[in-house]
Amino acid sequence: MSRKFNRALKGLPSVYPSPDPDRMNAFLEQLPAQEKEHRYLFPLLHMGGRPLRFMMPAVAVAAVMLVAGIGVYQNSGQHKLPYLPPQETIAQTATDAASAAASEAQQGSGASPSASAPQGADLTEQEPPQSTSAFFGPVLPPGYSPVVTPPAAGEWTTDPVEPSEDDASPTMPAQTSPAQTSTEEEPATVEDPAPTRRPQETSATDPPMIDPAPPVTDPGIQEPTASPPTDIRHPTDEPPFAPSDSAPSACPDPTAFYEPTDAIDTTEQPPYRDLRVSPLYKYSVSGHVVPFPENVFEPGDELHYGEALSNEELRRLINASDLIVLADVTDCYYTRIRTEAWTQLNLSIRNVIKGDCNAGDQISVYEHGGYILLWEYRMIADVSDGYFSDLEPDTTLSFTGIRTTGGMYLFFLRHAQLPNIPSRAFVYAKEDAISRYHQLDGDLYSSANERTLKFSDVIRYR
Amino acid sequence: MDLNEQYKNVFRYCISHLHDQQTAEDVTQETFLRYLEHPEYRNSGKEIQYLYTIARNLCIDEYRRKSHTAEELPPELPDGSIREEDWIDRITLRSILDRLPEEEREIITLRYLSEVSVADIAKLYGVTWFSMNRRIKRILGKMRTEFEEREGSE
Repeated sequence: MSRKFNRALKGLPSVYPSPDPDRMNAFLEQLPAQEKEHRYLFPLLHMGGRPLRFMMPAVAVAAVMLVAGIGVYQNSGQHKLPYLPPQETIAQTATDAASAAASEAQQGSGASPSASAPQGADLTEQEPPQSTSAFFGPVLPPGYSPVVTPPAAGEWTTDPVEPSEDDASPTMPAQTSPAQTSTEEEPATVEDPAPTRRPQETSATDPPMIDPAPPVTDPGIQEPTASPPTDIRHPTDEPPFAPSDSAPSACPDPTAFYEPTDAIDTTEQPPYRDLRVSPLYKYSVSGHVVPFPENVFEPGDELHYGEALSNEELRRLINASDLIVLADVTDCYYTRIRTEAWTQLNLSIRNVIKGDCNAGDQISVYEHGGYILLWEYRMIADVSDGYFSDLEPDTTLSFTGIRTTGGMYLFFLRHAQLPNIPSRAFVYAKEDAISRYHQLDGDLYSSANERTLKFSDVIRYR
Repeated sequence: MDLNEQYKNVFRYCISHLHDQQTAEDVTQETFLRYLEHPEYRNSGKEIQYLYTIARNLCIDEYRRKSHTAEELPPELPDGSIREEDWIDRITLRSILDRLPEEEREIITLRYLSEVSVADIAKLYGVTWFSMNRRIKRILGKMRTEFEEREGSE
């Protein structure tokens, strides 16, 4: 009988008249033109969808402020560029070496410098050389050379990073690839007093946190990836560009480029993130379970019960999802949000199809429906109904829901942005039964309302 | 938004309220014209809500203007692809729907005739998705009970 009702419900639109197709088509053909007409007939009345009368005060205020700003700027004289004699600094720079050589030669011969020196030397005497530094860089003390003195042989245990030709300044060395890091750290004869962060390595003896073998070997699935190594190349406590004693104090401290090693957490990090939350209430299911009256929350879309998801539905489902994962249900808690029963599922992710989680991460999902103890429900809701007075206090009220049990499922999830649900938790992307699928047969997955999809389609449309 | 599809959905919504083909067509077209008059409605993420709010208000206006009596809408004739038994079931269900209280009929019409999502109906009524879903299930349960009673009595 229920199937008959569902079939009749699905065919209900057919017993209502359809719109006249000629009239409908004629109207819809005119619609784009009418839309253009509304948009362009009175273009001055609208600006970005807002009437001009709302924009006018803002435009007027902006114009007044612009005019006032220009006036103040011009009166202050800041718009005029400072005067700079154009030839002095260039002549000084170009003729510096020649004038020095000439003056040395003239001093040695006793002749007057003004007699044989080029004209540029005269200008150099009139304009002090510090004037160039005001425009082209900091004042460098005499005798300072920006060239870094190479260290003595054996001072470094590894080769310093070769700076690129484009970048001659001493900057932070680039991160090396894992292969480089492993080969360079091999000669560990030199003690490393400074605790530097090591790349996370999983030895073969470590117990695996999850099943490393994914159940589905589709090439499009993201495999568990190790975090990139963050080790800096220098193995000693001194960075390769440490300032030598001969370096002038005006030289910028190159150690400022390095993060203090104390700030790095050297504790061993697990290869996964624990994003689970703790439920505020945990209800156990006592022996006597009764269904909640008017408990009509049932999984399933009556309109399309048992049908395969269309491509359009699948695309919408994927677009609505922040996270699509194949995951194992590890824990299940019955809880409540206000007066509604919810179930918290803790998941251990096997594979990530979409989203910013990694395989091995543990997350929490809130699913509508569950169980609440009657005595607790009496405190939070109006239970003056005689139905409840007949029940024993230790009764558990059953609120139907999707009812996920243990095992592996394909979840379409989004971040929970509902009040009273922890923000780190997830909820179903479409808030109904088509957001969770169990493996039916090979590539085919089925939801709680028997709607099916192919896993390969999820990979294709993600 | 697929205007062609929405036109049919809005028309079904209107005819379920007005029970008159010509008036329903007029109101449907007026709904779209008013919707397109306001560019701020478009690309706001609430297109469906705006559309059905306009349609509902126009239906109410039309109903008051013509001081409608709730005439029985003549059923469509079945085409050859549908079994007679299924057709009778649908007619039965439609008569059950027509006898529902106003708000319940409105909700079921939006959901199953105009195929508006539960989330959009919930926003129209200013309630949560779960609350609207429960309400829909409750109404369906009521309709199913009456449907079974009628089937049993025949």
